[in-house]
Amino acid sequence: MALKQVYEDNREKFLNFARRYHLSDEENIDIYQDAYVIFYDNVMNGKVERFTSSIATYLFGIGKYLIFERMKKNKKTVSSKFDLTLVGKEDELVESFEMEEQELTPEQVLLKKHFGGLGQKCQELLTLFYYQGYTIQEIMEARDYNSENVVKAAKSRCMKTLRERIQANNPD
Amino acid sequence: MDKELLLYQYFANQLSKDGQKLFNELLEKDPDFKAQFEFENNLKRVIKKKQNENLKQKLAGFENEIKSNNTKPNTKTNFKFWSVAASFALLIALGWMAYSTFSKPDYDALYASNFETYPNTVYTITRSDSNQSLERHAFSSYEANDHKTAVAAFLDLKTKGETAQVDFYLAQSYLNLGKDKEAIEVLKRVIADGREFKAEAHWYLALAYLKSKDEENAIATLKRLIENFDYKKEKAEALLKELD
Repeated sequence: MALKQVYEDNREKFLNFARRYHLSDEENIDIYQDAYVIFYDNVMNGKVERFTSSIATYLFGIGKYLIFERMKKNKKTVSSKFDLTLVGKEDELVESFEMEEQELTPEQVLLKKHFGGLGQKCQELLTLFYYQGYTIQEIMEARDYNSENVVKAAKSRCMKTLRERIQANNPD
Repeated sequence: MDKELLLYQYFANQLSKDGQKLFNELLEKDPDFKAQFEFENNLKRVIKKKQNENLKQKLAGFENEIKSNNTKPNTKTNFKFWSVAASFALLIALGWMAYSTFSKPDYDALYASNFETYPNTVYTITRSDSNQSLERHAFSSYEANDHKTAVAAFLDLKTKGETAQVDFYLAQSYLNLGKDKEAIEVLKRVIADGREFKAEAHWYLALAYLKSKDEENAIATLKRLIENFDYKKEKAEALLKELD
């Protein structure tokens, strides 16, 4: 399991790095997990095309950002020891990353609910296309569909079901 | 150009320059097109959110595992190093005799050094397998150490009349989540049912008792295991010695 390996390999390094900011261990673990999710997500959406540094360095960069956000939220003053303007290698590395997740709009919340109610096959197909960035042809190959048309038809059916369910839920 | 195709190309990152231009124009002038685009874009956003949530849940599972394994010899955390160092210091200070005579056993440590999740031996998951059954879902979550999801799926399977096998794995997932009380109840059922995993269930029941610091029941269960079965006999005897 690569995901797990990466999690374990970088965990201690990250926690050591994070300890200097004096949040609780529990918070640091939470931040580590959030940083990991953000890193993974940015790899998936193509923000990291080549690894120019170790994974740990990316995680430090994201982590630092998240730690400062958390400190602001906790209303802890960021001690002058930590000069925020001092930009390290790890900060530059993650400059273009999408860090913040916007809250879902009411429409999106509804969409999420009905997406979760679709069959496994539909969810998988739509995830491959919209999240993993597979083309129709790649989906056909990866999931043993007979032709591209079959994939396209399946995708349209899934989208149609989704739309119908949302409309039934929200008649206006 | 076909609007569907334009949208497809947009989401597949395959828009040409001309396509992009047309795309932008339509977005501005064609409300239907815009609505369609927004729908798909929202969907993309929602799927991403869902994926992120799933991943975070998985990570929490890894974390639980690390915590429950913390005293195992092969974990290389600082905590481990210091706890070993500290216990050596303690040994030297008190002397072996005093230590083993006066100190209560450390149940958590004993549990952690004996507990190992039982491997999935009942359901084969293969890559090409397109079977989306509940059973597959349950065991693939189990194998991925996503025990929260696994518990939910096992409980679901049980409502469909599944057997001792499911109970046994349900208990494993409970143990991984640190829910020893629940695990104890389920393991007792496996033993009472008596068809499969009876010996194994004794071993894990003893560990679950240990985890909940119920020494009396842990000892009784270990004795029953040693008397009646061969499974983990040596380990059970060693553990019994530590407790007695």
